[in-house]
Amino acid sequence: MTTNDVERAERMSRARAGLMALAAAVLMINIMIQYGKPDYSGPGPRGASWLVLIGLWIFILWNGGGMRLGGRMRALMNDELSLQNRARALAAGFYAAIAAALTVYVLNWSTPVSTGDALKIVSGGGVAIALACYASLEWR
Amino acid sequence: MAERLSNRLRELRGERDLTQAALAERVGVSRKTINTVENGVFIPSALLALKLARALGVDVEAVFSLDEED
Repeated sequence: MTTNDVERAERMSRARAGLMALAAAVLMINIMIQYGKPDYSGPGPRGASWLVLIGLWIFILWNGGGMRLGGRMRALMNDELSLQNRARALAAGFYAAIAAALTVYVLNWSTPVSTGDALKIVSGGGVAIALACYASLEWR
Repeated sequence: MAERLSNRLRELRGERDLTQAALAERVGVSRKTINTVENGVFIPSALLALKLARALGVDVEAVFSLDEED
């Protein structure tokens, strides 16, 4: 391991955090523009793309991504601080998902919310907050 | 009474003319981890604390200490 490796890992960690912040914004925009449009949550490619998107980011939040990188580089990018940041981000995402679920529950009393929309708000909101939280912790 | 972990990492690193990146390389962590430990933002595990002390050639008590706050 060299100082160059440490610097490269830092650059890549910052890029990963930037990508996660961007993904959080994309998820929130998707939720807003697709709300009330059953095509985007029903059976078919559009509905399935949501599953892929959420599954992909949950996977990256879980293992840190960078699967094509070497073991040493991955170890540097997923060191103790990064693991703690991911754990905190996942906790924040969990609380955000619960808050989103409760909000939809109350909203449904006055404005009916479809099952597909509700699930997208809960899953997308939770993952988006987790991603944004991780990005902010990594940029501190 | 609250307790706070303080450290002399920056001082000890400076005495040895080590950059944060150089110390990070010795310990096998990111430079940001060294930075956040120095600033008291991140409290390292016992394992990392011992690695840091070993990389600086001192006992862990020379790097980290408990301060008591009122």
